[in-house]
Formats: sequence, structure tokens, C-alpha cells
Amino acid sequence: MLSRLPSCFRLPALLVLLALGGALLARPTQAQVQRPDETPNPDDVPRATGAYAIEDARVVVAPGDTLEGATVVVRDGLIEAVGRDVDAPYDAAAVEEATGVEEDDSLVVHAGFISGLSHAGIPQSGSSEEEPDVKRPGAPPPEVAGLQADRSARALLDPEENTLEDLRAAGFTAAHTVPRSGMLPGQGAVIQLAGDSPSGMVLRESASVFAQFEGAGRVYPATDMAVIATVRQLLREAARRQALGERYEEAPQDLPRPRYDDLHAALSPVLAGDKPMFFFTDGALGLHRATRLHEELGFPLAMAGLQQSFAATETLTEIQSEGDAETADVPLFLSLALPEEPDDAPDATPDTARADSVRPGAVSGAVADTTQPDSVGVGQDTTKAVSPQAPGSPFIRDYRTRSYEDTDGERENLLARRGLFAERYYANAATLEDAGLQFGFSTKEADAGDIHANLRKMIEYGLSEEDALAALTTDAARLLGLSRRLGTVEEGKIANLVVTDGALFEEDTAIRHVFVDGEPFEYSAEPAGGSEGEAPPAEGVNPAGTWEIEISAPGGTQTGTLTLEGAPGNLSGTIVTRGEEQTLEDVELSGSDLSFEFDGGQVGILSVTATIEGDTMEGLVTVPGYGGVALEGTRISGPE
Amino acid sequence: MRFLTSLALLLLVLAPAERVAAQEDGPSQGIVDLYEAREERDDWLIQDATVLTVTNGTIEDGDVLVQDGNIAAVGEDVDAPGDVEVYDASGEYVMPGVVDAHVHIGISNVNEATNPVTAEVDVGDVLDPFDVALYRALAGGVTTSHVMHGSANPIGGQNETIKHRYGVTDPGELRFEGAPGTIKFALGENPTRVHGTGQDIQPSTRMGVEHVIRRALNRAERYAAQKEAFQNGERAAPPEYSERLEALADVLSGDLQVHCHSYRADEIVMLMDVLDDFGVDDVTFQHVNEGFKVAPELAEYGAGASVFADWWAYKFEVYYSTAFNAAILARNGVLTSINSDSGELDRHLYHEAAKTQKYGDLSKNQALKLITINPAKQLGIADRVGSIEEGKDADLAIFSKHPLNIYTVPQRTYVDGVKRFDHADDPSDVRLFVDPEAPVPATRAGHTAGHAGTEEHRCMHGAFRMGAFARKALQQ
Repeated sequence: MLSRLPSCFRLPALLVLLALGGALLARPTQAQVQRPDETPNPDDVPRATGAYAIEDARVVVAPGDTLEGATVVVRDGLIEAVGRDVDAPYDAAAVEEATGVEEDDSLVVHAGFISGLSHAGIPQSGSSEEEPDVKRPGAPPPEVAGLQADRSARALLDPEENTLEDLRAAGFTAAHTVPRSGMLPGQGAVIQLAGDSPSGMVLRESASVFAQFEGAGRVYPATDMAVIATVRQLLREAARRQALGERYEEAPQDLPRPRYDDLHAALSPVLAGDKPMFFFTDGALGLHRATRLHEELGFPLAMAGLQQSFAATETLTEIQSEGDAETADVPLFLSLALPEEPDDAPDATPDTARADSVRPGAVSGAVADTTQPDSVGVGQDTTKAVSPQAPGSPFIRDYRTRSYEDTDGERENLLARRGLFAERYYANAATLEDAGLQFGFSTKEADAGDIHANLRKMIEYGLSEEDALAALTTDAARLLGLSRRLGTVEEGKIANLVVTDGALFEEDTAIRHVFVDGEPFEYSAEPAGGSEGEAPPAEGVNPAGTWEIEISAPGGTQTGTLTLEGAPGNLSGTIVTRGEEQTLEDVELSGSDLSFEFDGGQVGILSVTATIEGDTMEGLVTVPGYGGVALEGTRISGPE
Repeated sequence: MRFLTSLALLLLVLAPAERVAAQEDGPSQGIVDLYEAREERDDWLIQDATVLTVTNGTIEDGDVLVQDGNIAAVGEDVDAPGDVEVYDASGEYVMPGVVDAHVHIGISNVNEATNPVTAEVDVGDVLDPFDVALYRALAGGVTTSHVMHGSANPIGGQNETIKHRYGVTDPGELRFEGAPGTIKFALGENPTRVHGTGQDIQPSTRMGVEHVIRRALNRAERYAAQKEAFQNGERAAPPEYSERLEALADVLSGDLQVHCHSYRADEIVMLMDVLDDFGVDDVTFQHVNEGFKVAPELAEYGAGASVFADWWAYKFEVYYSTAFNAAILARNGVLTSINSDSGELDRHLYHEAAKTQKYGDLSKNQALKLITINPAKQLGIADRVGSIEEGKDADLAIFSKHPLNIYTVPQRTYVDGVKRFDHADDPSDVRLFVDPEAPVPATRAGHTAGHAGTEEHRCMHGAFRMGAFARKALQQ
């Protein structure tokens, strides 16, 4: 893949890639990420000291609590001292103000960020394995059905996994990490985002039972409704077994011996209320569905994702305020991903085509105008006040298409509404903040390189900086039950720190040092979030060529040919299945993630997302109203 | 500025219209969603209309008083509180909201097609209040729908009766509170094709379909007996818990009413025999294209029939059909309704009902019953909806002309007294949710998310997934 690097590859791009975790780059070139005490072979020479001092820094002890000109001393993984009168110990390595920092700018120290949900450290499962041949699709083996609640994230941890480095570079030092794939992929662990061994990274081994509304493709449970039925089945049967087991312990005579199995046993702590069932769900619908299961079955709930939670603040307020704050709180973690505007977004120039297309007397018999409370921005750029960067022209509530030839105006109107709707996502965090809800952040769906730009956008749309920092640190620690160990820059806490060269949420501020467990990582002066906008394609990933694809349908596997042409950023192609050729729409490559849509005839528009690794791809075909089915592909020719 | 922005956004999400209006010069209009700012008034006086009560004749120049979402009074010159909002419906017709006994809108999934018996799954768990089809149905006077699991499995999942409260965002608020539970069964070509042809498992034949159903109900009987034995102390431990058998036991006890997809006379009689053997009385046959051949038998069993007006020949088992089906069934004493099974047809069920006047000479009132009180009876909700009577829910549809007139235009639709559709105020884009990442097509003629075509709402949706490339007319 390295050989396919564009020849125009230049240093700035390289830096961005590094911030994003350009994992494919060979390690010797990573001059910008190195430990101060790095030696040619660190294993041979013991480190001289485990102590570091950051002197004359601005220390954000906790959101809203700042010390100027203070010193932070880190020793052997803990914060040893914080304060203005603290002297750096003789044996502490000084954390230098890296080159490029102005003389009068001091370093700023924050508590390390905590991600409420992530797959950090959990490698993608190998794609080479053949899908098991399931004789009865209605009763597949548990691992095929996605029922693996007995798996532990710790057991799957790989300290070399790429996301760890990416998240660290964005200031994250700890995360609740969960296994991948299926409705019950396994148990989450809270980990430090660096370490030599899996067990050395673990803060809490079994923190949750992770759940998501993800069907098993061509076998049961294929749909969300079957996933929900399966949650009921498992928890109710687990309860039966538990009750039976307790009776058996007391008086085994005449009782059938309770059957033990790992899956039901793994759910016992959830039944007992000791561990949350931790749902990932992006949509408002999933949020309601998880909440309903929680209310029906009584298990402790936590949720992450929640990109549409602005539509469910009432429900969230209800479940967060039920019971006492200590035990019955429902932890919420908001996705740090934000929707990306599709390519067909209109330019900012207001159109004129629609001005006279409002149906007269549309609203309550009067000509629609902006003074009507329920008329939406007619003829006036009301969006400007909402957003500093309002996309496009205003939405006209009562727009009427006058002729079949005049669909452009209608299209613009729909684009305008879409733009307004995107803003609700940007303002989602602010909406929750204003509703008095407590939340942390989830990095599960977010590209690490986009996180800081997205945070700035959330702040631009009303989230206070203090609450943003709290969601990254103190609130996240509290919601994960780790407040005594993490979340603030205080003596005795674990030395997870983020050191920046300016105010955290300023665009030109860069993260210079990150400490995990007292271990320093140093970064260049590239701004923390990298440049705004889409992630560039991961190095070397070029999806062009001809691919043989396999789509798992219930009656067997369907094969087809996918042809992709053009360069990343300008891709097009076709797909042929069963002799029918369809043109691909909206072909996009973000990182190594490919997405496109095509017309599936009677089933509607099918959207495909796939991750490309070398000459293989693995992904999902989403069928409207049904859900996802697995797709695999192998490149048989190209790219040139 | 930051404060203002955040305040405005909060208002947009939470505030009723008045508060938004009070936000002077604010950016309030920007992203108010169409229904969040809408009033939820449920007190009305609908005045001087022709009131088609369906159960108590027609009142010329009648009034309907709606209070707290219920029908408080019906008659000529009804007394009303002075401050009630009046709608002058002179020259217009008021009928009870249409009840659609079979449709697949407002749900995220239709078929769990992986197993021949999936009694444990429930479309009520995956209600989707954002489906714009709910609004489109309102625009055709529909206020209640029986949203069903698909017909891929001999015993499919549980259905949900919903009200078209389009504008709510909590899926639970769509539910028709207190409506009896129902479950989908399916006979004939669909289940044999999905499981027999598609996956090479039983059932491959109509015999196999019968066996799958009998075996499932047998197991449920044993399961219920084991549970009872445990409760009586005759058994040391309860049987292994099964959501599936719990649901099937509810079928046996009558707590879940059977709604069975069927076409042919022989299979209809077969299922009545099976249910009779298990002591199950409550059954409504869906589609029932050959119902006219066994109308006396259906009537004797007390089975309901929910049919199409004139839709057939989309596959082999539906060639032997007639547009007289509804009339023949009704005249033989079968409780009969006409359903849509479609997110398009449900907008004009009043046309479908009218066809029974052409094909079968049903009276106007008999025809209206097919889409109001009769389906309400089949769904066990006739005490609440299906006619205009004092004390019932104020689910009302107002038409410009008689609803069976081909030139009629729906004017307003009320659900629980709340105006959910108004022909005079019908915004250009009624979606509650817009995907900020979805491209906007050049025209809306194509089917895209949020502007779902009718294909999405049909019976076999999800049954074949990618196999759908090859299928031709799989619907129904």
C-alpha cells in the first residue's frame, strides 16, 4: 500500500494524518510522537525516573477551577502535587514548552479526557473466516446470533490497536471500551488508553453488558423487533435460572440440576442491578426502545450515541431523575460525531426561484409571513440568527411547486430544511445542557481527527465551554463511577493529563503532551483537531478497481460485481447483481470507509457502507425498513 | 450571542407556539418543526355538517361537540360552551375516522423472516412515529390503523393497533391504549416460498403450513400446562422460559387474537379446523380473496374477514377473485372490512368502500361500515371508535362531499379531538425528521427515506432482502 502513496504527499498532510493516527506509516518516521526518554531500545535500559514536572502552567483543576502559574508533579502514575507553591522535585523530568510556543504563553494542563463508549483497543475481527453454515436460520449458534455477553473486552484488548493512539492524540486518556458486532457483543471494560499489556490498561474489568440494536443479518435475530424480543427472553430466562439456582443451593433434593451457561450467567449482574446494560443507539427511536426495555425489565441502563436526543429530552429527563441520583442515574454519552453535509448542499447565495411560489392564504387564511408563529422563515433569512454558518437559503413552509418542470425550487426548499435540521444535531449537546441533563461523550462513531472541530461546533451552537470540559472529564468520570480516580487535576488522582499550548477549545490550540498513567506522549504544534472538514482518505486506500462482492441473503449468498472508478473524492461506479446493472450514487470515501447507494428495484434504495483493507472490503447493505445484511468483497483487478 | 443562540434553540425544541412568538425578533422560525409548534386543542364544535354516524343514521345539518378529545354531543343544534372553537362545516360531511385493519406503516420492521414461528416478536416494539405515511393516511381520513407483522411466517409476530397521532415523537404515544393484542398468521404461498423454497425447511407445502401451526400450538399447550403444574406445586421447577411459547399460550387463552393472511377457500377452512381443535374462537382472516366461496362457513365460525375491494392476480393463489367478495361476505353475515395493506391505498379507503356499491349494491351506510365500525369490531375497539356516538373518541374525518362520492376531498382529520390534518394548512414538507446526511433527490417522485414509496409498506417486506432482486410480484 505504501507504494501507492500519492507522489505529491507533503509534510502538512503527513502531520494531519499523524493526528488522525496514520497507522499505516512505518513507525520510524513518527518523529512527532515520541517519549522524551526514548532510547534506541528502551527495554534494555531502565527508565531513570518516573517523575515529571510541568512548571509555570495554567492548571484547569476542574471545569471552572483554574490555577495560574502552577506546577503539576507526576510520579509513578499518580499526580503527586498540584499548586502554585509546589517546587519541581530534583528527580523530575521537566516537561518542556515545546518549540513554537510563544514566550508569554504557558502550557495549560487539563484532566485527561474520558470516552464513555469506544472500541479502542479492540481489533476488528478478521474478515477471512468463512461465514458459518447455519442449518436453521431461526436458531443459529449464539456467536452467529450476536449473543456474546459472556465475552470480555479485556480479553480482546490489544495495546497496539490503532484507535488507542488516535484517541490519545485527541486528548483521551481513558475509555469505556466494548467488543464489536452483534446485539450483545460482550462486556465493556474501562481502560487506560496506553499500556504495555492488556491487564496493565484495565481500570475496571467488567463495567457493563454492551447492547445495540444490531441484527444478525440473515439469521435470527435479524430485525430490531427480534433483538428486543431476545433481550426479554434472555433476561427473563436468566432470572428463572437464578431463582432456581438459589433454591438448588439451599435444597438440591428433588430439583432438576440448574443448567449453567456463560451467556445467561453473564447477565446475572445486570439482573441484580450491579452492572448496566449499556446501549449504543444513535437514533431517537432506539433511545425510546432501550428506555422501554429498561422500564419493562428493570435493569440499570446506560446509553451512548444519542445523536437525535434533542427529540427526546423529556424521556431522558424522566429516566435521569428516577430514583436517587447515586444509583438510578442513567448515564448518557453523546456521540462526538456530527452529521456531514452531503455533496449536494446548496451554496450560500439565496435563491430567487422560490420567492413567488408560496401558496396564498396557506396559513390560517392569511398570507404566510414570518410573523406567524408556525410559519417557518418565509422570505427572510432567519437562519442567519440561528447559526453563524447557516447553510443555504431559508426554508419556506408553504412552498408549492407550480409545474412538473419546476422541481429545482422544491429541491432547494428541501435542501434548506435539511440544513436547518443539521443544526439541531450541532445544537444537540446544548439542548441537553439546557434541559439540565448530565452527559459525557462517546467516541464510538467519531473520527478521532474530527473530535475537536466537532466540539468547537457544539460550542458554537450553544454548549458552554465549561460543560463541554465537564462532559469530557468530571461528568464522564462520575457517570462511569470513577470520580475518585479520574476527572480532575488533583493530588492523588491517576496522572491522566492533557497539556495544551492555549485555551482548549480555540481553533489554533494544539495538544502538546498527553499523560496516561503518568506516561508522557509528546505531540507537534499541529492544532488539536487537525483541519476541519472531512477526514482525508486513509493513506494508500484507493477503492478503484473491480470487486467481487458477496451479499448474505437468507436464501443463500448473492454475488455481484462492483466496479469503482476515479480517485478518492471523485469516485463513481456500477454494481451488477443477477445481470442487472445499477449506477452507484453518492460514492464517498472517508478514511478507509467507503459508502454508496444504489437502486435495489422493489426493495428501494440500498445503502452500502464498507471498510476497505487492502484488497478486501467488509460492510453492510442497509435495506429500507429492514436493516442491514452483510457484504464482503474482494478486489479482482485494479486500481491502475 | 452564545446565550441567545442557546436560548433560542431551547425554545425551538420545547416551546409551544406562544412562547416562540414571544421571542421577539429572535431566530425562532428557523427550525421550528411543523408539529412541535402546533396547538393540541381537543375541544371543538363542528357545526352544520351532514353527520354520518354509521351506527345511528345520518343527521342533516348536525353538530358534533368535542370535549377533552371525546365526542360530548351529537345532534342538531348542540349546546356548546361559549368559548369553544367552532368549525363551520356547512356543506361538508363528517364521518368517523377510517379504521384500516391491515397495513404496515409506522414501523421499522415488517418481517422477522428467519424462522417459521416468531410469535415473540412484536411490531409494537418498533413503532416509528416519524413515518410520513402516517400523515398521508390522515390526509385520507384514517385515524386508526392495525399495523401488522408481515406474512413470511406461518406464525409471524404480534401486531399493534395505533392511532395516527402524527406529530408525537415518542413511539409509545402512537399506541391505541387498551386495544386487544393480535398476532399475524399466514397461509399459502408466502410462507412456503420463504421457508420451503428459500431456506429448504418446513413448510414447503400447504400441508406443512398446517403442521407448523399445529405443532406450535401443541407446544404452547404443553408449556402452559407445565407452568400451571409448577404453580399448583405438582412440578418442582417452572419450564424453561420462552417468550415465543408465552405468546402462543396467549393465543390459546384468547389474549392474542389471530389475524390470518389467507387467500384460498381450502386453507381458510383448514385454519378454522385447526383453531377449533385448540378452542380458539377469535380469528379474522386477512385478504380472504376466496372468502366468497366459504362465506357461510366463516359466518358460522364467527370469523371476521378483511378484504381488498378489487385487488388480485398478483400471484397464482389470487387469480380466483371477485370484486363482489366484500358484498357477498357481508350479506352472508360475515363481519367484513376493507383494508389497504398499503401506504398508498390507505389514503383512499373511502374509494375502496364505494366500490362495493358498484359491485354488490351495498347501501351507503353498509359501505361505510366496511372501513369504520366493522374493522373496529374486528380489532376489539368498537367501544371507542368506528362511529360517531357520544362518549366515543373524537376521531373524525371531514369531507367536502359525501365520502363515497368520487369527487370528495378530505378536509380535516381529528384524532382524539386534535386536528392532525387540515387541507387548508398542509405544509410543503411534513416530515418530522430530516436526515441531515441524506441527499435530496432531484424530484420527490423517487422513493427515498422519508418519502417512502408504497413498496416499503407491504406484506412481504423484509422477507427476501437481497433476494428481492429476483422477485417480481411478491406483495401480499
